[in-house]
Amino acid sequence: MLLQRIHVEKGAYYDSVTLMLVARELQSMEGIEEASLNMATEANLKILAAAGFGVSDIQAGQSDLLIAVRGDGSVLEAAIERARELLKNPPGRKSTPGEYRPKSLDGALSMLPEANMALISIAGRYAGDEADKCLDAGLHVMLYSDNVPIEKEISLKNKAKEKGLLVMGPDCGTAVIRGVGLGFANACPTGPVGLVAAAGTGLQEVHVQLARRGVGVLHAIGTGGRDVKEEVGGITFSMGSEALLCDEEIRVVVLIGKPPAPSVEERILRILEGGKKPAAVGFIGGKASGDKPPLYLCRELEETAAVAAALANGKDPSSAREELFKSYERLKEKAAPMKRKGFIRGLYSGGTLCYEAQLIATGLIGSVYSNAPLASEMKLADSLKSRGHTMVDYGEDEFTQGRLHPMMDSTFRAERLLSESQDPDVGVILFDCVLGYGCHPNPAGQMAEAVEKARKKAGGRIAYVAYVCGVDADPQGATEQRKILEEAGVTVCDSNAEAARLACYIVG
Amino acid sequence: MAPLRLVVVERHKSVINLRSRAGRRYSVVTKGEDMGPRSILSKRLPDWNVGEEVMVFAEALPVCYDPEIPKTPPSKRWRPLWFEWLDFLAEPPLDVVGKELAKGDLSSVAGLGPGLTPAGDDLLAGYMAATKLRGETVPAQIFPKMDTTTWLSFDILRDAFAGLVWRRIKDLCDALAGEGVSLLEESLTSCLAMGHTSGRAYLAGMALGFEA
Repeated sequence: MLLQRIHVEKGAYYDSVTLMLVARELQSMEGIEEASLNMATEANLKILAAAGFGVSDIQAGQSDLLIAVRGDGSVLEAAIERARELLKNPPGRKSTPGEYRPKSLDGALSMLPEANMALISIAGRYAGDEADKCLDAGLHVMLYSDNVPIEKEISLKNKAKEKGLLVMGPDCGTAVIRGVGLGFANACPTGPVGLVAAAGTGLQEVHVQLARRGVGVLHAIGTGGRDVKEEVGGITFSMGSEALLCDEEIRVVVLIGKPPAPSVEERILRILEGGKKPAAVGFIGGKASGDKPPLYLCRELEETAAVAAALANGKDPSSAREELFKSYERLKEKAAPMKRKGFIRGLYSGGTLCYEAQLIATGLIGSVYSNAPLASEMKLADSLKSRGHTMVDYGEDEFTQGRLHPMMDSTFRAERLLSESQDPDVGVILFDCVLGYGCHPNPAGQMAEAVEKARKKAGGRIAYVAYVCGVDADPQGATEQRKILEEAGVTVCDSNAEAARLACYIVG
Repeated sequence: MAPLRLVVVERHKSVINLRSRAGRRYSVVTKGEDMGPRSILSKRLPDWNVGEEVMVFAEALPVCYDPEIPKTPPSKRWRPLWFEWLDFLAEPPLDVVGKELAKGDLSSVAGLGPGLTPAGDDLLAGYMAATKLRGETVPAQIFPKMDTTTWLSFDILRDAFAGLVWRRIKDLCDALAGEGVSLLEESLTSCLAMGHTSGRAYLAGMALGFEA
């Protein structure tokens, strides 16, 4: 008989990679069927409960660590002890002396005095102060960390502006500087395009779609998702746009993000209008529309890339857009033999990809529920329980506190794919696989395994549609990843927008 | 010159440590970076067993490096870097030495902590080397009594007190006196590779010595 135990380690903080490595180690112990190590956040307690662990008596706060194990009763205690031991010296992170790396900002600057930028990736509560120090040292900042208070973001960005420095972030997962990708970035070619984006999968998608059209990017400046809010005022978006307009190597400027606050949008568009460079503006789902050369206003990611590529190649952007939307129309023919009844369940690792898919689906088949919905009334009461058409963003904080981001580990998302496949009301399961540096080495493999298992149970009742956001030069290889999914019976599309449309046409 | 009569005390993978009648350590090493004062660099270790008495003709051996600490002080440019080395004392397993240092004088760490050469001794040796590098005299009161630590460790401290250091440390001293980043990076990496904790303890001691 399987027993379970949850041990609470009070006030213990470990990064999510360590927790994953220790959990894997426990899972390899004989007699252990399931093991997980997570911070005791409300969301993680819910996830544990959904996995069948009894959590009602757990006395723990979000600064405490939960070590949960299920298996043969005789080994549970040993497994907990093993976990505590491993946490002191995690597998794969041995404290053997290696290459010397400075540990402090001053130490790093003494060894690299010509550096002009710092990448900060530490717990959010410390990240803001470190960014302050970097600005004082005259460095541009890429703030990869999230959970930095908005007040801190505002003060950092104002300080940076005074000094003529950029603060990219907080929560800036991707940037490209002189063709070099930072964070989650794809191995795309360098070229004449300069991007400013919130810096998530929206940036990655446009980067990849430009590469598919043979156009490279020199710089991609991430701003963090809150930059375009009224309170922050689009400081980095404005500074980034100005910098790209002044850069002689940049021929086309591209802006990407969710729609900014109206005053911020107005400010940004005014900067671009005065810039004398063609610009494609992709505020996804934004209200502004219509081309006013040199500005081209787009509503979707692939559309933005297609327009920008046309501008870079000296072609007519309107024709490029028209052709793209015609190709979307042809998806209806592709969907005809794939018709299914039921709802779409979208399982996303990329936040902007999830947002764009909701936008497209809402236009084609009606409102979509989500944990990160387009409109507040469509918010799921419980992110773990779908209703109607649902698209879940697994990159939201509720799923990533003390847990790896789904772009680094799709295990949790794959489990959801299995459970959604058992729902008789589901007709299509739609998902993304985001590739690039920093991402899981084989995300398609993780999802394909789940699809294969699900197909054994559900048969052909459900259609699986996916998008692989990446290029062949990425460490995972886009063609290879695509093939893995196709062999598992997944229909793989060429863009996120295409995948969302195909899913809608299948059930519509 | 009469041959040296030495007794084999320890045999490791790439080092044999021998003791003279006067109680000094001599070594045969197979890696250049493991050379210390009174070391012989050899292609392979001789087939000597622990406890065996051997004879070495010192005048027949080539001089590979000068173990004397250079007289050039470290560049102030690296000061932020050596401040970081003090952090080693806050992390296990060296925290035991850090805690002792916080409550007592420097000599109280002799023989303390983990390692073949106790970490406290490595720290003291680093302190002595740094003091010498600054051109100062090492205060005699920090030199430990013989019975406070191991024979090998005591011998290293004797050398450090006299201004003689291991080749890795000599390279580090040279790098700290210069401005070359890659040279410093290389020598720091080499120092960290000393023993399990020795490198880190030594660097922490050097930082204390530089700031004394």
